[in-house]
Formats: sequence, structure tokens, C-alpha cells
Amino acid sequence: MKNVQFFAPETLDEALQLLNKYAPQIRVLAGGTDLVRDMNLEFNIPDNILWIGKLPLEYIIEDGDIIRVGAATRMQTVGNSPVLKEKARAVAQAAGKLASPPVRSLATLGGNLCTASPAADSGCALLGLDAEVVLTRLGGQRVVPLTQFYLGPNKTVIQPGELMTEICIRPTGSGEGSAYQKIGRRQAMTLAVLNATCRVKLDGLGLVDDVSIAVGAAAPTLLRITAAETMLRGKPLSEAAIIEAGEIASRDINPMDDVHGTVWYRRKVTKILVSRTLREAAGKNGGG
Amino acid sequence: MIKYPITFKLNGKQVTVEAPATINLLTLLRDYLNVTSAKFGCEQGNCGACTVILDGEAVNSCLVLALTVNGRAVTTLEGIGTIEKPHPLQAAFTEYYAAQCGFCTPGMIMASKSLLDHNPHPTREEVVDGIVGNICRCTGYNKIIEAVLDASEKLG
Repeated sequence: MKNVQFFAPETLDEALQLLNKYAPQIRVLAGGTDLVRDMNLEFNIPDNILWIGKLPLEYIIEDGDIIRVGAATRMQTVGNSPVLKEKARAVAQAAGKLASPPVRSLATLGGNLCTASPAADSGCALLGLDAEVVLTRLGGQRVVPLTQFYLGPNKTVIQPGELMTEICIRPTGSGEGSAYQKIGRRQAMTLAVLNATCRVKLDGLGLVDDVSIAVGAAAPTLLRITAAETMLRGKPLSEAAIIEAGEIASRDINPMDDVHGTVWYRRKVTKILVSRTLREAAGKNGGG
Repeated sequence: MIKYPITFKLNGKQVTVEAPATINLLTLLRDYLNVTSAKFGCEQGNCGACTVILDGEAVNSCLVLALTVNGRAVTTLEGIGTIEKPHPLQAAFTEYYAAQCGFCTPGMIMASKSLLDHNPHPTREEVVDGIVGNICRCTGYNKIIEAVLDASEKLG
């Protein structure tokens, strides 16, 4: 068996020194629900493991116009957070729909982003809420919008030596709501066959002031449906507009056939799920 | 092979054991400490047969790297009751025939215990959500849900 070194630093500086020293032959361990599974199955046994569980990276703080969430905040903390439930509802919903309670007491928000699954629950919600991530390295950091974070399945812009330390979410304000919906092979404990997140802001006249639509499990990365967003802006959120947005999404995704679902099914369901999520985010729960 | 010392509280007792960085908590319990209630099922976090309580919360022990439990507290089925003095959940599982082959039972009871620790009077739906990560291929779940609801009443 391979000699694997294990590090459990207690300060961020120590963690960054180690990352810098051993990169790229070092893997960051957060909740372990992906990395330890891959090690169990012998898919991927790293030479060096850096566990970040001792770093003070589990927090949810309202800081002026932004909600700052520590990258190692666990899904159950995210799902139960009153701040997120009120001001970033889709993220709390997504965290609550991820796998099962024992997995949610391990899995972290940052880990879910870094794994970069095209079907990620919280990744889809955060993309739909315009979140940004803070990547920290020795002597500096950069802030990357999630729209520019994913490069492909399990590929992100994170460079060797960088550690995701924080997720910044722009909270929803008055006249604004968000929603996350997921279709799986069963109600719970399931990977998304398709998921969607919408954030909708209506002005005093009921016109769409701002909107974002994110869809997951429908392309090599989580996807924003910008054409539908553009179409909706400045219009009343009528049932016809909601259905048209779903049709645009169904056209603009780039899904594949896999064991979870077919291209045909994913296109059909995208139309319905995007419309449904838009209605929920806008507080219009009528319609089908 | 590099081995690291791990010291943690297992069912209330301090233990120290040496293990390599690659093994998970389930293997540590079963193969290094001979504590075998947690079962080896999928090793992917899908089946829940290995559920234990870590620092007060149910976790899949197969997804926890053994070295990360250093300084923490782990409770397994062995730590909550005995044959002479079973935990109310253990008594209820017996009374309601909530175990058939028994393979899922230790994980099912630990997931249920964590649920009741945090929410002593769950609704039926909340019980279902609490054990959603634990697969049982025998009972059809109804008897397990009834047992958990009964234990919650008996625990007061």
C-alpha cells in the first residue's frame, strides 16, 4: 500500500504553506463524502491529504450587502440556517435535498463546489444566486464568480496551491425570491437527474427587474440560461413568459444520455422544471 | 507504511490506535478495534449500514477518514445499550419486529438515535427523513418507523 501523508493544520497560514509545498501532489479533504469514497473504491488515492476540518471555516455571517459562508460549512448547517432560509432560500433548500442526514453532517458547501459535479445540488443553487467564491493562496487571494468557476465535469479554475475559503452570496431583497427544485429517481437520497434554480426580482409594477436561471445535470457544467434571462427582463412575469423561458432552457441545454436519464427526458423535464422553479421563486404557485 | 496515532473517545472510553492515512472510520472500528456493529455495505455513503454518531451527529463512518476522529467522540450501537439493559430504541425494534436479517439495524438505530437526540418528538414524516439514508431490503420500513415513533414516546 502507498505511503500517504496526512496533515491537519490548525491555522489557515499553516494550511496554505503545506498546500504550496506539496502542490499538485496534495488533495484537500473537507467533508470527505467525495474524496474518501474515491479512496475507498481505490479510484484515487492521493499522496498527501490536507484536512481542513480544524480551520475556522464553518460560519454564516451577514456582512452588509453580502452573506459570507465559510467554505467548510456543512450542509446541515447551511440547510438549517435562518439567514440563508430567509435571504438565500434556494441554497438552504438545495442543502436540505442533498443525500441523507448522515451525509449532510459531513459534506461541505465548498466541497460540493470544488467537486464540480454538473448535477451538484448546492452548486446549482449558488450559481442561480450569483455567488462568488474566494480562492486563497500564500500571500493573496482572488474572488471568482461562479459563472466563471467551472471548466468541465470535475474541473474548476482552482490552481495548485489555492484553497477555497469562502462563498459570498448576494442576498435576496424586497420583491425578490429564489427557489431550487430537483428531479431525481426518487424523492430523497438521490443524484439530480435535473435541477434548477431561479432568482426573480419584480418591480412595483410586477415587471421583471432582475432574473437568473441556472440548470444542472443538463450540460458538462452547471449552466446559466442567459437567453431566457434576457427575454424575461423588463416583462411582466406572465404564464406565457414563464413557459417561454422553460422552452428556451430546454433548447439551450447540452445534456447527455446516461444511467440517470436520457437526452430526450432531460429536455422535456427542463422545460417543466424551469417554469415550475420560476413560479416558485416569484411566489406564483399556480400553473402546472 | 506511515502510521499515525489516533486517540479518541469510543463509547465513552478513551482509546488509542495506530493506523495509516488511507483507512476510514468503519475499517478502524471493525478491523483495528473489533467493534463490529457498524456494517460494511457500499463504502460510498449510499446505504447507511455503517452509520455511527460522531460528536453528537449521525455520519456514514465509511466516509470519515479515520485520522480525522482524533480527539473526537464516537458512539456505536455497542455504546447505547446492552442485552440486559437495552436502549428504548433497541427495545422498540425488538418489540415491533423492526429487524429481519438485521444487517441495516445498527445503522438504522444510530440514525434514529441521532434524530431523537435532536428532535425528541418527530412526526412520522420527520422519522422518514431521518432514516432516508439507511437502506433496508427486508422490512419495507413501516415497522422501523413504528418502532422509532414508539421509542420517542417512551423516551418522553
